Amino acid sequence: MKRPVALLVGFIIFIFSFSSFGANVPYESYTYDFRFNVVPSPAPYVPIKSVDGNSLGVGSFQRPEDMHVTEDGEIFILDTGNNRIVVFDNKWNHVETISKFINDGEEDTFNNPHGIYVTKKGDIYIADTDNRRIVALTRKGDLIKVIADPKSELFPENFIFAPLKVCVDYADRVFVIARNVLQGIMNFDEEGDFFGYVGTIKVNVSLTDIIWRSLSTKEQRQRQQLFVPTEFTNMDIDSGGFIYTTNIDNFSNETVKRLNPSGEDVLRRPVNAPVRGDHYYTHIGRYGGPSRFVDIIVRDNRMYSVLDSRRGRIFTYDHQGNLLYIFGGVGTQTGTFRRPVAIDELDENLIVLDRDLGEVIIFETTNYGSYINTAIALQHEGRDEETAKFWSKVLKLNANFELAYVGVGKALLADGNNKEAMKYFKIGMDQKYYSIAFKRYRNEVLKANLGYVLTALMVLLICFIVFKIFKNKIVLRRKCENA
Amino acid sequence: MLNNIKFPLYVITHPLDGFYTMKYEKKGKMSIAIINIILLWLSYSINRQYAGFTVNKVDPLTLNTLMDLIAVVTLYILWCSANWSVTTLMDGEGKLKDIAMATSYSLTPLIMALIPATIFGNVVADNEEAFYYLIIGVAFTWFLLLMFVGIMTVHNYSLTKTIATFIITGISMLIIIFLILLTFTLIQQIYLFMRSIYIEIIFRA
Repeated sequence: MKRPVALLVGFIIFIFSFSSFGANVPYESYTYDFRFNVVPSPAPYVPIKSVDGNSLGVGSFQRPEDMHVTEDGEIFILDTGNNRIVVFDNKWNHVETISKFINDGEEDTFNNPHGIYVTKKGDIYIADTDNRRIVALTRKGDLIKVIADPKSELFPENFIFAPLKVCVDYADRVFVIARNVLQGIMNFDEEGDFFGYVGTIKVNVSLTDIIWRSLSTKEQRQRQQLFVPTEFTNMDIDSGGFIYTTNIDNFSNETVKRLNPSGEDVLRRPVNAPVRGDHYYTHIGRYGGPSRFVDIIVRDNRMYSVLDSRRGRIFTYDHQGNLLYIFGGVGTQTGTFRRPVAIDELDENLIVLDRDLGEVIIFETTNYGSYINTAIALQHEGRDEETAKFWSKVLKLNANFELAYVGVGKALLADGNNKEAMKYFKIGMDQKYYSIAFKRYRNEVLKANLGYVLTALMVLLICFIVFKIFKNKIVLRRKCENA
Repeated sequence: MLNNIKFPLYVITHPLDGFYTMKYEKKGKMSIAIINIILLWLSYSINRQYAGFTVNKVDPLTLNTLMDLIAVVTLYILWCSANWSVTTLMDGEGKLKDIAMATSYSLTPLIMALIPATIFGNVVADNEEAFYYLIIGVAFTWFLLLMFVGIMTVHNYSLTKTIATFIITGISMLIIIFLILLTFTLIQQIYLFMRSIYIEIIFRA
């Protein structure tokens, strides 16, 4: 009697052990290795639930375009089609809805707003697209200022200011991505006056383009595509005032930029692995082509996640531009996207806003994801030994993750275990650190064996000299005998 | 026998004299030339597989010694036949055997450099790898110079004519590759055509 019960229990455990392996994740997670091979990895994040306007009790969202989460965990969803901002606390309880404000004593509303940003002080900035203005409100809903109709000699005639995304730094300078503005991100000072552009995207004209153009007639040239820079799609600002921004410059390796206050791109990119999302993709079909980044979120320890709307993937990089993990996908299952537009971080979770579904999808870290996050955090604090512990935990879950090998190798190197470190760096394909470990190991070997080698050399030398002397003597004697 | 083995070493140090005696005094041996090619293949394969991690970025999955052999032999045959077909039309005095020997004998510095470079590549770290590339670079330049002198001597050409021959040989190598590909595609087309006729007949009958 006991035996069948035990078997049954065993069987149930067996079945459940499978389901807990994340078989319910509706997408495949992967990374790229040194040679751009796709390497499957465990899921770093899994979707736990999705919320929409109805389930939150505020009426369904209509084409929501943007979302912002403050440091206190307040969630601002910009419900574009309903021209309102819906605010939730971090437990998704409805706090309030902002759909109108008092402007010059009169009630004013939004018209098709596309971007929202909330500063640390709690001021809300809205890119009120079809009203051609930026509206700044206090957290209570009182108007601070309106930025509309900017004046500058830099603008062409008939310039229409249609802001799409907005971002504000610690000094209340306002950065705006506007429709059909190709010169860069518009920068407004704290008074709301236009100040200049930052971060212009370079135009890449290939040799074939130049030859083709020089061969075509004037009429043909007029009908050809213009060589204009692409527009920025979105931005986020880190605590140091650096703007992280995304664009959809196809076939460029600089679709993510980190702009310093003077507008230069200072993002760190590994030499052999540019920060551009997917390295390997098909060129045809609906899901073909390079990754199309639509939003970026700067996370703790200068990690950042970018959202690719083409294939619905989220790429996370560390501050040196090393790819950490990729997850997410386009589809019809729960947990996949139809048209993702915004990404943000809520506590430990990542949340993604889907415009066509009108939903927010919440992703929770798995053990695998949180080990990587912790390792990066510890590495950032310079606690090498603990970092290595977490990297080896990562390696237990994913033995194909090169960065983890390098992480363990660094700790071994700090320990002075050079030979072992070399092994790890070699698997992790890090030639720079391999070289450092190798140099130290070489010195070790030399130091240990130099004595023997020198002794052997000395002995050989003496033997050689003795041999020479004897040989000369013999030759001399023979000569004498002959003579 | 020993003289035959030593002869390539004489050639690479005294190219003008060496290639002359190789051709006109019949000091060159085709067997030595073939052994040279085999040695080149071995040292090239060993280099690809065993050079240290600092100087070696080859994907282990792509390492295939037989493919290396095919690559080396194909290039060698391609070069020899292209050069022969060009020089017969341009009053070259060399026979195919002479070209094959001259080319193979000039590969000697590369063969001699690759294995020491491989060993050296295992003891260099960052910043020192320039020496590794220096060894290989010097050997390669030496090889090119030797081949140049070799072809010049074997065909009894002037300097400018040799340069012209080299360029034309390069072009004719490309043409040969193109023709081979074309032939293969045509054969494939004919095969597919025959096959579809066969299938058609099978189904009709």
